[in-house]
Amino acid sequence: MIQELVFLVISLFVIAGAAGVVFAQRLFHAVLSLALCLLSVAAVYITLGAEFLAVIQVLVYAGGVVVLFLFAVMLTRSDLQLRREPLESFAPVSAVLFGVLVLFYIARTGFVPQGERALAPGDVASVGQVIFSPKAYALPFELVGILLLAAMVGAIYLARRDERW
Amino acid sequence: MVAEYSWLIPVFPLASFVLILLFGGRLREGGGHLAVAAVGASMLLSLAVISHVVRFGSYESRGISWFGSEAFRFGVLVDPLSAVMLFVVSFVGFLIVVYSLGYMHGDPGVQRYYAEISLFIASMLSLVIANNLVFMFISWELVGLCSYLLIGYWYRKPSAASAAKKAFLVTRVGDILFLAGILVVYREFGTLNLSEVFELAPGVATATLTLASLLLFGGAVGKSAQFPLHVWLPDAMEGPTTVSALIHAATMVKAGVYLVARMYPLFTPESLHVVAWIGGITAFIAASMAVVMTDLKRVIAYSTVSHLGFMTLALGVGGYAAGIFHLLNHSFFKALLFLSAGAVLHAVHSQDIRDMSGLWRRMPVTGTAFFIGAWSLSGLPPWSGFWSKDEIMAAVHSYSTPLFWLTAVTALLSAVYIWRLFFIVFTGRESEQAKHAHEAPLVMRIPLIILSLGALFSGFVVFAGFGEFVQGALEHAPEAAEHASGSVMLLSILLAATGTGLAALTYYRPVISAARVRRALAPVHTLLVNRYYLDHLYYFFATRVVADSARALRGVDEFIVDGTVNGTGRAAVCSGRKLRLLQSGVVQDYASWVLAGAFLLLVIAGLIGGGV
Amino acid sequence: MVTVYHYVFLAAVLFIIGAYGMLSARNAVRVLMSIELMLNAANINLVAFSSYSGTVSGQALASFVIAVAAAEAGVGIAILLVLYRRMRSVNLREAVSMRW
Repeated sequence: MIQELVFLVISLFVIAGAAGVVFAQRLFHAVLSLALCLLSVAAVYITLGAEFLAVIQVLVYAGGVVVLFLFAVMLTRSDLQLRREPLESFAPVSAVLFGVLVLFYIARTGFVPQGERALAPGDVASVGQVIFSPKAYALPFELVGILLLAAMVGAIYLARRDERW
Repeated sequence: MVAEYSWLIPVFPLASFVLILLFGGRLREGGGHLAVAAVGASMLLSLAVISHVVRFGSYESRGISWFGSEAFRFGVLVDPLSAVMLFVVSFVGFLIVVYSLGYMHGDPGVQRYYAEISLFIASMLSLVIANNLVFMFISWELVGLCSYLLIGYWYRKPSAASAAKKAFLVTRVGDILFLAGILVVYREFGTLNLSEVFELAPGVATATLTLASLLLFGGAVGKSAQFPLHVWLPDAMEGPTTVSALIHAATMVKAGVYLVARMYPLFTPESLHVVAWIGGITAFIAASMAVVMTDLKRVIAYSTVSHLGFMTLALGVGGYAAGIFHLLNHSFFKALLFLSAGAVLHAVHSQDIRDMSGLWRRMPVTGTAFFIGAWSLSGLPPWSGFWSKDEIMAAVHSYSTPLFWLTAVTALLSAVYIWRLFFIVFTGRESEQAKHAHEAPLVMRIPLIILSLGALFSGFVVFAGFGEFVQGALEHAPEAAEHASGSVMLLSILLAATGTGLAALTYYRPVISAARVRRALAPVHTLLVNRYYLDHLYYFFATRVVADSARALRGVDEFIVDGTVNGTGRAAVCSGRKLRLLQSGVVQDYASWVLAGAFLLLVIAGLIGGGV
Repeated sequence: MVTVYHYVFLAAVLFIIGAYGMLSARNAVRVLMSIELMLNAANINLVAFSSYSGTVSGQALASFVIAVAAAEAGVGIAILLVLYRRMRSVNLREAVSMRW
């Protein structure tokens, strides 16, 4: 009972935050809404027993990525009020249809009960075991490192002001 | 023995063809002397072979096979029938080529002329000694080709070109039937060698034989200008007169008659019945048209058609020897008539008999020649035409009475038309053109003289056993045709005399007025002058039926084929024009297409079943 | 009792909102943010399934996703800046030079 209530409240925050991103009039508000959403997702992780992941979510997403977006907003001066243009493309419609389909599939599974949640260890040590063990995700871990390097170099190069370098 | 070299007979003129084609320009007279030499050589060799056949009987060689096939062997068969044909073709051919040296002198295209004449004679010779149906057919087609080339010799003249085309197309119809006949024979007999076919013939069903023989006769109908494929022969007169004499009187047109005679063992009483009637009808309608024609050569052309009808008729009623006998005689007097006509044209430069009259004074030799030819043709005794026509009439008499009376009328008409020609052209007051006429040069006169001798005396071979000789070519002699009985002979003389008399009374001394007869029988006259409207019929068929339906079909083809091709092109372009609008440039549109695609995949996966 | 389906449902809704936003927003920054929403939805799914199965690998994968998402956001914004310098605006409806 308590669990469900907690879940419901947290979900509401997630959804509200998401809605805010899409529908907020001013972009700045949208970014803040994003922050709210991401934090709520961290809460979700905690209810699932993934504490380590929740912390990463807060640090990287709610911390780094949101700041990144704030800079973007400021540098592109797109906080200016944009006139509400009518939605002419069928894009949103397809999103809605897609959503309907997804929900349909979920419903179709028949909600077979999975049994009690087996409490999986969510602490740093266990996660670390999985990430760094060579039989599991050690290689992808290294590759992600290289990816981050590439992304960093790319972003710096793209965004440079000076044509000299 | 000499018969082993009989294959050489067509080779001489063939070589002459090639040589004249290559070097004729450099030779005098366009290579005419070479042609004469070649045909002369063939003639001598033919005579030698003929004497061999007379003394020792038939000769057949095995020949060379076509790529090892047993059914197609190119070999030689010389029997009494081929002997007669060889004689006719080589002898008359030789005389005519000599005549050409004078007649064609000065014409710019003589090289072409002599080359084509040589090829023609070569093909005709190989046709009559071929021992295999395919070999025969090849020669047959070559003969037809040369006819086309020679009719259209003066190709710049539109009427000549179109006449050549007409000749080729009409005989083509016959050729197709001939080919069909060959196919039937092959299917039934499994071989095309004549002797083998004849051996197997008695064992084959009557219906098949009738079919095969009628199809083969179809070829003869085309080549020998029988009704209803006779329409090309009168127009073939567009070619030089020597061509008309050689091809359309003495040799090529005889090929059809030869074919029937050669394939006689395959003919059943039913098919022979058809042959006889077609021959009889042809003879009659041609003679009737000859009476009203005003072009000198045309009258003689219709006469040829009529006499070919006689030969066909003779073969049909069982008068095998009679038909071949007439073939021999006719070659002489018809060639004679054509060549004398040629001399006349050479002198008067017009083909319309209304322009000519009283030519005897200035062209006595030619006139005499024509006179002899006319006498022989009309069937008055004692020259050649009388004997063979008599035999034919006797044979018809014993076969069918209505046909006999038809033939009798035709015989009467024959006398009328030929004497009409003679009297109009050679007697009476000299016309304007006649005043400038001159006798033919020596090189043209000598063949005339020789042919005259032939026209006079060729009939007497009948007393030398010609009939039995010719029938030796057949394994089984046909139903014994009645030989010339006294009453038939008398009737035949009477008919010829009456015809001659009528002509004399109308054209020699104008006792009967031709104009009044014409007025009295006006509808008949119109019918005849319009050639029984057959040409109109064919023309209608060719333009309306064939051409119009071809045009309609072309429309369909254009509509469907072009429509498809152009339509495909247009479809591609159109769809391209529409589809490019999908590229809006807006990234989110593209993203939504991706989403839509994922949507579709999910739906499909869900429908197929299994796990999503 | 909270089942895995609750989380799956939540993730689905989050994803749909993100998709909608990605497709209909005019502002490029908003589009990038919507993309982050979709990635988070995927992550929730990953972690939920992993947790209800008693394994930990879902969390490991989710952390990789977060890393990649961060990288992508960085590069994306860099590109955005270049676009802004060219166009003086980040209205995606105006960036349509690659059309027919």
